[in-house]
Amino acid sequence: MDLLQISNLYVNFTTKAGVVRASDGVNLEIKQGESLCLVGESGCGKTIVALGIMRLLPQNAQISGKIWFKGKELLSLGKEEMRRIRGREIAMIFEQPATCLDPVFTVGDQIAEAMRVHERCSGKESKEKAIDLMEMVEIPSPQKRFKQYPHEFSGGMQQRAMIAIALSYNPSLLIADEPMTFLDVTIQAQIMELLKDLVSKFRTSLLLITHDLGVAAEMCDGVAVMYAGEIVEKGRVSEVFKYPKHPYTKALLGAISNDGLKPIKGSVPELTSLPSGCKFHPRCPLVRDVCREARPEMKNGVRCHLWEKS
Amino acid sequence: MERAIPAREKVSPYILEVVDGLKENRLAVVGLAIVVSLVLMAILAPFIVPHDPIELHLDLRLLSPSWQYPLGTDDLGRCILSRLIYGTRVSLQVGVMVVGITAISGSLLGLTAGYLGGIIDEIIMRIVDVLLAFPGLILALVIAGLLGPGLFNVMLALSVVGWTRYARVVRGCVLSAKERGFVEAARAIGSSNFYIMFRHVLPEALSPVIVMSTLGMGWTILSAAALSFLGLGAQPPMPEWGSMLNSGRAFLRVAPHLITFPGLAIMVTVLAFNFLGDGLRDALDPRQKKRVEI
Amino acid sequence: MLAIVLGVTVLTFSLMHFTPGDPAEMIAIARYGMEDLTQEGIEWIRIQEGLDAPVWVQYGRWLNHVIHGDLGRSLIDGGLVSKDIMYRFPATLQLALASMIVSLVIAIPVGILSAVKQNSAMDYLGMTGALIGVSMPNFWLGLLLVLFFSVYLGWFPVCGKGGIEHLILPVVTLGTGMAAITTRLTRSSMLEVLRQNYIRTARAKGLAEKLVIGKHAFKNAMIPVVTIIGLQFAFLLEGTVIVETIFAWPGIGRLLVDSIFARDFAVIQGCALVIATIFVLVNLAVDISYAYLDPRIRYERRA
Repeated sequence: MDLLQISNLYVNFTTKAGVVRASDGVNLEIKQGESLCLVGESGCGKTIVALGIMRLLPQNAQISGKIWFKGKELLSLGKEEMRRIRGREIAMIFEQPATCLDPVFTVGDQIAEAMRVHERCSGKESKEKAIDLMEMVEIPSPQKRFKQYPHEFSGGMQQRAMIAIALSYNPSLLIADEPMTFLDVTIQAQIMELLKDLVSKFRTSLLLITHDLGVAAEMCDGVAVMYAGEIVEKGRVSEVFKYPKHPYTKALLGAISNDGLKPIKGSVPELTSLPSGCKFHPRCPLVRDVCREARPEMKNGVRCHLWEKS
Repeated sequence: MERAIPAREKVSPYILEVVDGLKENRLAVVGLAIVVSLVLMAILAPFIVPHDPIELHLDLRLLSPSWQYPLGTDDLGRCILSRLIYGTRVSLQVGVMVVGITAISGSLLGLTAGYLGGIIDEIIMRIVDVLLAFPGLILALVIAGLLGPGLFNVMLALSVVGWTRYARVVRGCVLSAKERGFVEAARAIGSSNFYIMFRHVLPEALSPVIVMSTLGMGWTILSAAALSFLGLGAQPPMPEWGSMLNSGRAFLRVAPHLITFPGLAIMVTVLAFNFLGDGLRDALDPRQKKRVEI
Repeated sequence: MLAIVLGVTVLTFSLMHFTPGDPAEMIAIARYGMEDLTQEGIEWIRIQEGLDAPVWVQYGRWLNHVIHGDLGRSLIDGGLVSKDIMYRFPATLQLALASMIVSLVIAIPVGILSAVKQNSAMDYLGMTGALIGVSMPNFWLGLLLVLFFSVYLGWFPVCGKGGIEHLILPVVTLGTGMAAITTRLTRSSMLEVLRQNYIRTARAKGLAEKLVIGKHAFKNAMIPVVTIIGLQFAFLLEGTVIVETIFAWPGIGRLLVDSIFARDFAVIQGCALVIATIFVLVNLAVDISYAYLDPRIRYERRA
C-alpha cells in the first residue's frame, strides 16, 4: 500500500493578476520507505504540492482533491488532527535554512521545542534529547551549540539543525524542499550524505523537491517531473533518466548533458495564463497540431500525445 | 476607453501609477476629497458663512444649534459654524506655511549635510539630534512660550521643531545615492555640485518628502491647535479651532456644543491628511505594491 | 549620548538667554514689582546674578549648578526650581506609567488579533478605531470624556488629583491616543512576521497555533514595537502637558504651562531640561532592551 497518495490535487490562488493554477490536477504516490523526487524548473508548483501535503498553504489558497496518508485523508482532517500529524508523522525541511529558524530563540530551544510538542516531557529531558539529535546530525560540540542563536550558525549547520528538528519524531515521511539550494557545493554534498544516511537508517520515506537532477539521481528511487502545475512524467529514476519519454524531461536532462549546457528554450509559462492543450507545447521541439488543442492524459508514466499514439 | 490611452501616455507613467495606486485606496480618496473641500471652504469662506465670525451679539449667547445658527453660538453670541469655516483658513494657512518652511529648509539642510559631509554634516546632524532629544510639542511650547502668545510665534516655534525629520530623510537619500556611485559618475563628466544635487539627488528624495509633508500637515494643524488650546497660539477674536475649544471649556456644563464641533473639525482635518499621507506612502512605495501581488 | 545631553543643556540655556527682553530687568520686576523698579536695582541684580559676564561664562556657571542638581530659583516665589520639579515629578510619573500600561494592554492584543485575523470584522473595527485614535486631538478627547463621564454620568471627578477615580479619565485620554499608534504598529509588525519562513517552520513542527503566535511571532513582532516605545514616550510627555492642564493634574507638564504664562524663566528652563533628560534616558533604556530582545544586535555589540 502507498504511504502517501495524492489524487487530483488542485491548488488555485486568486490574485489581482488572475487565478494562479499552482497545482493543476497532480497525482502522486509514495510507498513506505521509498524516496521520490519531484523535479522541474522553479515556479512550476513543486513547493505548492509539498505545502499542500502539510496543509501549510497561505490562507488565500483554494485546495481540492484528496491526499491519503496512512488511511487518513489529510485535506478533510480537523486543524487539531492535522497539527498532530505535522512534525510527528510528516516533517518538512526547507530551502534557505537561515530564514527558517526563529532568530530570537536559541537553536537548542527550537529543537527541544519540537520534542516537547507531541510528548509531555520535562525541559531537562527534552534538552538531553535535543543534544542527542544534534549529535546525530553531526553538529560539533552540541552542548555549546545548544545555547547559540541561529545567526551564529553557518548555513550548513543551520540546515543540520533543521534536519534535527524534522527527524525528532522519526516521522514516516520527510519532505525536503530544495534542502541544498543556497548552500556551498561542499556543504551540499555533506547535507546530501547526511540526509541519505538518516533516511535509510530510520526507513523514512522521502519526498525530495529539487531542480538538481544530479541530486535526484543520487538520492531517490522514484522520480516525478513537474511542469506548469502538472506531473508530466514519472517512473523509476534509473529508467526515466536513461530513457526519458517526455520532451520536457529530455530537455531537462539535455540541459546538463555532457555536450555542455543546452538551456531549454523559452521559460515556464505564467501560472495565470497557461497555454491550451499540452502546457509544454510552446517550448516543445516536437510540437504538433494536436498538442495545441488537446490536453494529453497520463499514460504509461508520461503525459504526451506523441506517446499516446505509439 | 481606447481613446483615453493616447492622452494618458503624455503624462509620465510614474505619476499615472501613483494616481492609480491612490485610486485603489478608498481611504486616500476620502482623505483627498476632505482636503479639497477644506481648501474650497477656506477660499470661499466669506461667501458661504451664514454670519460674521467676529461680530459680537451679547443677546445671543450660548444658543443651542438651530436653523438660524446650525451649530449654535458661543459665549459671545458668535455663530460657531461661521467661526469654524473661517478657522479652516487659519489652520490651513498655519499648515501650509509651517510645512512649506520646514520641508524646504529641512530638505536643503539635509541635502547640504549629506552631500558635503565632513564637519558641516556633523554640525547639522548634531543640531538635529539635540532638537530631536526634545519631545516636539514640548520644545515648540517652550519656544512659543518664551516668544509670547500669538499665532506667528507658534508658527515660528513649530518651524524650528519641524525641519529635523526632513533633514534626516533627505540626508539618508543623498547618502544612498552617493553609495550607488552615480553622483561620482556625474562629477566625473564634469557636472557642478549644485547641478548634481538638483538633478540627481532631489528627485530621489521627493517621494518621502511628499509623504512626510502630507502627514506633516496633520501634525502641524494638530500641534498648532494644541498650543492655541493651551492659550499660546491664536488670540481672540481670531476664529481658531484650538482656541475655540479653550474658550468653550468654561461652558462645558451649560453649552457642550461649544467644544463638540471645533474638536470634530480638528479631528476630521487631521484624519483627512493622515488618510492621504498613508495612501500616498503606499502608492509611492513600490515595495508595498509588490507585496500585495503575492 | 552624553554629547546629546550636553547639547540639550546648550539649547535650553540659549533659548532662555536669547529670549527678547533683559533678564535682569525681568528678575527685578518679578522680585520687587513694577513700582519699585529702579535702574540701580536692575544693575545690582545684573551684577548679583552674574548676568554681566560673557555668555559662555554664564553658561559654564549655570551648567556647573545644573550638574550639582541646582536648577536655580523661581523668579516668582524664589523657591528652588529643583524642589518644585521633584515635588511634581511623582504625579507625572504616575500618570505617564499608568497611561503607558493602559495603552499597551489595549494595543498589543488588538494589534495581534487584527493581524492574525486579517481582513476580518475584528480587524476593520480595530483599525478604524486606531485611525480615529491617531487623529483624535487628546485635548478634545479629554474634554469629551469629562463631558460624558463627569458632567452627564457623574462617575468621575472633573479634575484634581486624589484616589484612583481621579486617575481614570486622564489616563484614558492619554492611554488611548498612544494605543492607537501602537496598535497600528503591532499589527503591521505582526503581519510582516507571520509571512516569515520561521513561522512556517514552527507550524511544520506541529506547534499549536497558540504557541506559534504567542511565542515565535510575538517575540519577533515586539522588537519594532519596543523601539517605538521610545518615540511613544515623546507623545506621552507632550500629552501630559495637555492632560495635566485639562484635569488640573499637579505634574511637571502643568508646572511648565503655568510658568510659561507666569513668564517664570527659571522654572521653564528647569522643566524643559528635566523633560528632555527623561526622554533621552528612556531612549537609552529602549536601546538596551532592544538588544536584549534581538540576539542579532547583542551579538554585534559583543563582537
